[in-house]
Amino acid sequence: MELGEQVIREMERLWRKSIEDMHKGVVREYAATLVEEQDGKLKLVNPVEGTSRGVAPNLEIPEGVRFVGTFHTHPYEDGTTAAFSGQDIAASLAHRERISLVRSGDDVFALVRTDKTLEKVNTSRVNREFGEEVRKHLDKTGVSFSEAVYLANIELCSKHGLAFYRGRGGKLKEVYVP
Amino acid sequence: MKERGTIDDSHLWELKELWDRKREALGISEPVTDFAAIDLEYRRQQRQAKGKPISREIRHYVAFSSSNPRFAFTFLYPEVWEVRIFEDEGHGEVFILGPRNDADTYNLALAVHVFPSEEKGGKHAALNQVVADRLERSKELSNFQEVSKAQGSLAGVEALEFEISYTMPLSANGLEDTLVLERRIVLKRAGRFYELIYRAVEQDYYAYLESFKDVVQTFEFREGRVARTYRPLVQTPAHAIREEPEPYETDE
Repeated sequence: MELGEQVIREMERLWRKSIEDMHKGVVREYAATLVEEQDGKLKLVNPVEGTSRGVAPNLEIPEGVRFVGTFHTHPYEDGTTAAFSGQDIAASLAHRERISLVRSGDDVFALVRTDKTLEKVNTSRVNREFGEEVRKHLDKTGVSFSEAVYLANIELCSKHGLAFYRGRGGKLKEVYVP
Repeated sequence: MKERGTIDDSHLWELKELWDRKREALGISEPVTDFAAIDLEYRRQQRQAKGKPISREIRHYVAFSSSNPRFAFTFLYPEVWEVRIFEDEGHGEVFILGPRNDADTYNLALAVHVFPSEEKGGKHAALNQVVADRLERSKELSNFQEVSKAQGSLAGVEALEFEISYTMPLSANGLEDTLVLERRIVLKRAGRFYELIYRAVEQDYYAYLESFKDVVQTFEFREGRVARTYRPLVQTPAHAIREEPEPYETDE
């Protein structure tokens, strides 16, 4: 999956802003809205700053473009990285996002809606299942927090019919496709 | 306008804090994150779950290229294998993680190790010194054998190639020894040694040997490219050649 130059640049810029005060022990999530222009190119618009634990995307999109999904960052003061949270996955499903993106560290993660994606979602159940999956993997020896979250992402994508991609820059490779 | 509330990642933070506290209590450090290994393992499990054999087929090759001057070379490698780069005090390594063996105990690996020669502060001046050093160190391995050694050329410079075998306790119960084969090609250019390494359990070694040969045959330095003058060094034993090599495509 290729995201395009503008998306790559904007993800990089927002990631840098997310960690610009990391040396002071402060990180902030940033979000933007992913749209498809008339020529089919993807673009990130409406960048917004949040807190260390969340951010509210601005979904007011200009005329002539189609809503695709959202992008946001997952920065941690200690440099830990994390793919989607349970709430991210539930929101992506509930809002029928075609593509949801997260940047954490150098990695970019994507949830992609497919023809197998379930129509209905129980947000609290997704959150609970996500927490159970993460804890299950952390109970195994030698699994890092980032890996436990990653494994939980794969598991939840499998349960809900989402495709899951990972990569660096704008070129993402398929990890799981239902 | 679509309605979408705040993205709330508090739960993720709570899980992380829980994990940090647990690690502190257990006195363990954060394990190294390796998504590539998870991806490989996941693909393998998916194939097994579907009752499909683990594929030896290499569909596409991609080019390795880096802007880092230490890695001023290119080569083709199987797209589905994962590349990692390591650097440490003059040394650098492009490490390519291949598939797990059937017993799920060992990853096939390709690597290009770059390190300084004596004139740039390294330990060795000549190729034969590097090879002698590697063989000497390998003697400590269980059931070590030097299989073959040959001289040739690669990427326009002299190269030495050697193949060794040894055993490791890789069986599921850790009691039985598994034969591991390893092939290295060492060359020297502009004050640096380049060591191309291929290592796998016996069963996988021959199944994927063509992939290593493809790495070798496409290996070239970016600056001052010369016509490739590689000629095979160590001959592949007749029993190791697949009768019907699986086809592959390249991006070039």
